[in-house]
Amino acid sequence: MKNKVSALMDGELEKQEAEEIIAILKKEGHLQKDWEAYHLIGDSLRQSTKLSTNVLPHINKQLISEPTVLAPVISTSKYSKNKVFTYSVAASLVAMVTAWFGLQNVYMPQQTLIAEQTNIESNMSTPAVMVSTPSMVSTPPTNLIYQHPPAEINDYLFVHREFSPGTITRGQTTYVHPVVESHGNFGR
Amino acid sequence: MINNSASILLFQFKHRTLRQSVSRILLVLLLALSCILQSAHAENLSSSDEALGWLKKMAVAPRQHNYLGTFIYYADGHMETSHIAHLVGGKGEQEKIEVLDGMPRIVYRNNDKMKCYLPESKKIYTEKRWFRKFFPDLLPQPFGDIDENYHITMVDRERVAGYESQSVLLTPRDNLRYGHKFWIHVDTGLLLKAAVIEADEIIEQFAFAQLEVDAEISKDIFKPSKTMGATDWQTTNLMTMVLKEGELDWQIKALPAGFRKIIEMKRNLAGKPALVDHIALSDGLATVSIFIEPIAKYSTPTVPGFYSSRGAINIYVRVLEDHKITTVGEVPLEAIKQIGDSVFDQALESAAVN
Repeated sequence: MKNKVSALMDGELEKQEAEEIIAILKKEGHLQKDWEAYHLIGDSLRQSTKLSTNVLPHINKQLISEPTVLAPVISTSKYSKNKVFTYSVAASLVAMVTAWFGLQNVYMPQQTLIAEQTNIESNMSTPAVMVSTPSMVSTPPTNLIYQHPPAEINDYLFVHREFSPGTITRGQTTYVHPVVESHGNFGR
Repeated sequence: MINNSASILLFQFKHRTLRQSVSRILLVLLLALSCILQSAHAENLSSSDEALGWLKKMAVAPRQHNYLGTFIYYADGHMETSHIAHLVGGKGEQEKIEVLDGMPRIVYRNNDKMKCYLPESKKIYTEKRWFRKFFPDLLPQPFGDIDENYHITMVDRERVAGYESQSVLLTPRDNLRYGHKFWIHVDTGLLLKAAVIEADEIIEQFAFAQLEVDAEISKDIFKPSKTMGATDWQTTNLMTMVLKEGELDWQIKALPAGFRKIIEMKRNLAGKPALVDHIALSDGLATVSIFIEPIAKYSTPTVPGFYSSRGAINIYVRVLEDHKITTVGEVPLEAIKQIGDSVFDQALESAAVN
């Protein structure tokens, strides 16, 4: 019978035979579904923007029939608890390592030295000098990363250094970069 | 017999373990003690008179000698060459510094007055030189309590720019400042080379590549060329008002050890609708500026945080009572933060008390 429906769609049936199939179609629900499905397939193949079959009622009906889950499923198994613990430990480790790298960045800025520095370093390496060189004490927490320095910093640098060589001149590219992330509680 | 041997072996084993433990504890204690002693040694040592004598000689030299030369600024892989002419006469000091790399910049100084010419943008910035010291004239005169903040030691004799120099090291006594090293011309006391040091690394450096001491310098060199300062040039006076001590609403609650306030003023920064408050501090070598300005209603949000610029410069931005407080200076972050955090509005505080 499905072949007949398909043939009817393609206009391959004689008038009388077509009338008979149409009469059956009116009575048989499953054949009507086949009819709709064949049209949908045809529309898809032709990439038609307007579908012959309205699928919205069907989707709505399906959505209504499906239960809505508002809370995640709570697993009580021991295995999953261990898994959560493992993840939290891993996350803490990652946070610690990140913070450590952050602090390294603050206290050990990478510097390039000119050739004569070798001499200077050897002079600096006397015990009294080395030990008395202070190290940073504070540990500003690393909460946020700010990529862009405030625009007026260039003006401030220009005024602070009073045009001295090495200063950024007004109009030149800003050579300012964030070194430590903001304090959680500073400011207001 | 077997039991006795076993007991002896056990005793020897225990004794050895105990001895090892005691040795380890002693070693740790010794290390800790040596660290404490060495720290105390650095903090409390007084600088030698001879080393301080070299600094005194260095401080007065720019007021006694003419010089003509080329020096190099170096920091963070960036190098900049400048030409300097310095003349001492009956009317004081005259100086011309021309930056030879990148954007042209010529600075003329006549005692306190400074003018900076930017030929490319046809702009002139004028300013009274109130508080800054720059290479090779780095030390204030008198430099007073520098010994309280730095331990000064003589290091070596070295040849710099063709001259015999005495190198002197200034090691900070706390973590609020960087170290410095000066190479001082043995005959005249002129500074030939200067380095700013953090831990064991140089973070900023000035050095003469060529220098002529007590040179014959024509006064004409200090007159800007006729093309500079023509009618189409724009002049901006960066300084507007110098205030008395404590006159600004914004003050610093607790100055860090060794720092003192040099000046309070209101600045006229280009593009700013309101004047910007400016407080400058110094410990005799390092300078810190604090800029305070109201946050404009529709401006882009202020971004608090710590920033770093070329060389020894660190920056700290914070927000307080709808004002943006920016602390800038050639000091470690610890000092920048301490200074920035101690800024307060004295008018607001006294109103709260009343």
